[in-house]
Amino acid sequence: MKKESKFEPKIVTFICTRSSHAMQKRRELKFPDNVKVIRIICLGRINPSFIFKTFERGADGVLLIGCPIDECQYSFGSKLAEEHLFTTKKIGNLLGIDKARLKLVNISLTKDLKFKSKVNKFFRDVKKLGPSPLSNR
Amino acid sequence: MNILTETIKKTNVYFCLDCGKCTSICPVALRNPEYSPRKVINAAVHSTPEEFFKSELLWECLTCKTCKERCPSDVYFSGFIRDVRSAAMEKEKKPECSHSGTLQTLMRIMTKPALSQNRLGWVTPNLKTSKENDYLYFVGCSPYLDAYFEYLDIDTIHSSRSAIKLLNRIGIEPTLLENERCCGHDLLWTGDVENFKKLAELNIEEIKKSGCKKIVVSCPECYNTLKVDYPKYLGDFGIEVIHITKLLVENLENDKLKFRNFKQKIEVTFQDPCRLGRYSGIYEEPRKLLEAIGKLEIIEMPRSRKGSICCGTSAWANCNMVSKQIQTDRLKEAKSTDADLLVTACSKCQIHFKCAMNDENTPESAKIKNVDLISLLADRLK
Repeated sequence: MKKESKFEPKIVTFICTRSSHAMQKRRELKFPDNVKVIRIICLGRINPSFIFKTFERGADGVLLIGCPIDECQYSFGSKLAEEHLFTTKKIGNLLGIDKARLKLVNISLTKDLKFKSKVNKFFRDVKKLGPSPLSNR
Repeated sequence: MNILTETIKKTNVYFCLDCGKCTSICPVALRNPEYSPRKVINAAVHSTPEEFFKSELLWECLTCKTCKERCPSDVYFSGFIRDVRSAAMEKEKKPECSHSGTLQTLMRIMTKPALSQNRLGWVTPNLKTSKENDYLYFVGCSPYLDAYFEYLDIDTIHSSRSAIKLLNRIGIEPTLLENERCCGHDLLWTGDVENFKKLAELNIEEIKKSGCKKIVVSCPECYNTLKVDYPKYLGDFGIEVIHITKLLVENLENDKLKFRNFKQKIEVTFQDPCRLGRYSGIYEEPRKLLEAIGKLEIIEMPRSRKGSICCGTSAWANCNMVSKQIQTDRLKEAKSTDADLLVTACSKCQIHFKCAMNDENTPESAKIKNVDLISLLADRLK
């Protein structure tokens, strides 16, 4: 058996309140044990600091779950999150953090956005990448 | 002896005569009547370490070294602050970091040995660099600052490209480090000596591996850190560190460096960065280079050279209303010279001034076009 298959990545998920309700209602997905979930009021609350701090503390992947821009109840939150994600990805690229380690996935109460398959693909991608170079492992 | 008493003894703050000259010049004290360097010294001498390390006073200082220029007892207050911050950090007391601490986090991420950066994507084919050369150009954090402060319309990358362009003109094709890390300046001055040392060790290792004999630096903070603090904390690493302005001035007299004149007369004023001026004593070189551009006249601000005022925030910590007021005051001072341009030699000064000017409450009397010295020089190359 290959060594990578034994590797269980540490994944941190930031999820907005509304999206977590949507997940519950749609019964989309149950997170595996290696995923730490941090619920925040709106994804607009995150900034590059949240994400880099998570990588600094040893996460192998960071997943952001929020509402589509037109469904954000704060109206500006999802857009702000995307802007922060853009800056974070640019800096992440400079630091050599693989872009597959950081992903934003939208979930909607009304529309099917292929949430489950996108999240599972993210989990698989992070597992394939192996430990993060910043994780001290 | 407790850690506070030890630091007091080591940095000679017992020599404070309580004369208050520092307070009359300190940019923070001018805007915050609650603050005074001598008050901090009194508090340090008369309180227990537990009380003192809890105090907010510890994090107010900009470490701009203006007070040392005035102090009749030659108390090195900034050095005292740096050392007590490191002692406070050991007791888990931390500063309030601006930008939610993102920049400090990036610096700590850079202490990871396995890090493999993609930081040289900005090196365009017209810039001549080499794999091995006697000269190494230490870029500093400009790729990161450029990405993070995009919203301020700051082009720190242009400054790095300009530095290489100028070096090419004087016949140097410098080596660049693929995995250069932050020099650690901001961590050192906010008390995180442990991570500063990690960064310094990794940088020194990379620098030595490159086989260079001299390091050229354009960022004043990197310059002071590499030249003074690396040897101080880790011992001499045997490679000369030169500020780019010194190297360029040496080449002004021969024909290697010539600048295009401005079409119309232009007046500029120069902001001496703390780490370049008071810390490194480089006052004349930037001015000589500016004067080499025809039809450019330098108009000094009332407070310049040794008396120059800091840009208001240091080491990405404690940016508050006082910082904003210091910045506005300084910008007004620059504007009052009637100069067309405010030239700065430090990316951080530029970022702080731009940020202050972006504030909707900043009056028109504090808005002046701000350019980087190295970029200005490279743009005027013949």
